[in-house]
Amino acid sequence: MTTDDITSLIPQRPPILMVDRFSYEVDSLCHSELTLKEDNMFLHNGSMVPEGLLEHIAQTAAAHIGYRRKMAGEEVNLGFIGDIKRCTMGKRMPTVGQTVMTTMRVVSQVGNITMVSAESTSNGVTLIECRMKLAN
Amino acid sequence: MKLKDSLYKIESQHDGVFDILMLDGHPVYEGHFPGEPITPGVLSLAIVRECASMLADKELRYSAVKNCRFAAMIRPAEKLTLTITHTPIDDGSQIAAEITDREGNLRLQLEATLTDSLN
Repeated sequence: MTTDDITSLIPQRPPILMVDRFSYEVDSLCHSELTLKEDNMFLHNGSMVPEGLLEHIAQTAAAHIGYRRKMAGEEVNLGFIGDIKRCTMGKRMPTVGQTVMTTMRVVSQVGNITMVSAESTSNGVTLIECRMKLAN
Repeated sequence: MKLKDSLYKIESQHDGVFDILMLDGHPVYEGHFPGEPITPGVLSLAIVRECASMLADKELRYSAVKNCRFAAMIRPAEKLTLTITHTPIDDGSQIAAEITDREGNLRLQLEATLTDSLN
């Protein structure tokens, strides 16, 4: 399942909408994309600060949770980051016009706590790898 | 991106301890979330980065987050205390940081590496 209507899956809205496209593969795997535009709030001196990538990953996880809730006939609710662990960021950060591509695996999902492991790349170069725990 | 004086204000600062006031009205609250303003967790990380850059007297960005725990939400108009311990390394700083409210309740706990070798 691929959606262009990301706002049906997550509650975040501009100026902090940080996923353009989301595709659900299976319960444990999804992909997302973000193309960096000039008005992105995480831009600093022409490139994105790593906090923007963390928000992009958090919203990818939120879209995964939102998709599952939607399929179960439940409403999309607010979600929050519980923790970030084992996170490394690459030397180069994406610039305006570049597309960030993310692969996210769900490590565990118990009740309203979801643990994910994600990697984002741009033009084949790793930008960030991390583990994140979310509550919704 | 600069958040000081738009998302938060530093009311006082000494030896790595920053008394911070979260400001109302930053545009991010239009989207996070509509009708329910809550400071995005990643912007707490950005506040720590901006303050760590002040301590190091150079512009830093994250290169690794070993552990970051968001213990409780932060909302506009809250008064908080950010404490940063930083150790200079070759190309940046290693930091440990905590954000608490003025009653001492933990909001954020962080261990991270920041670098000054930018793009």
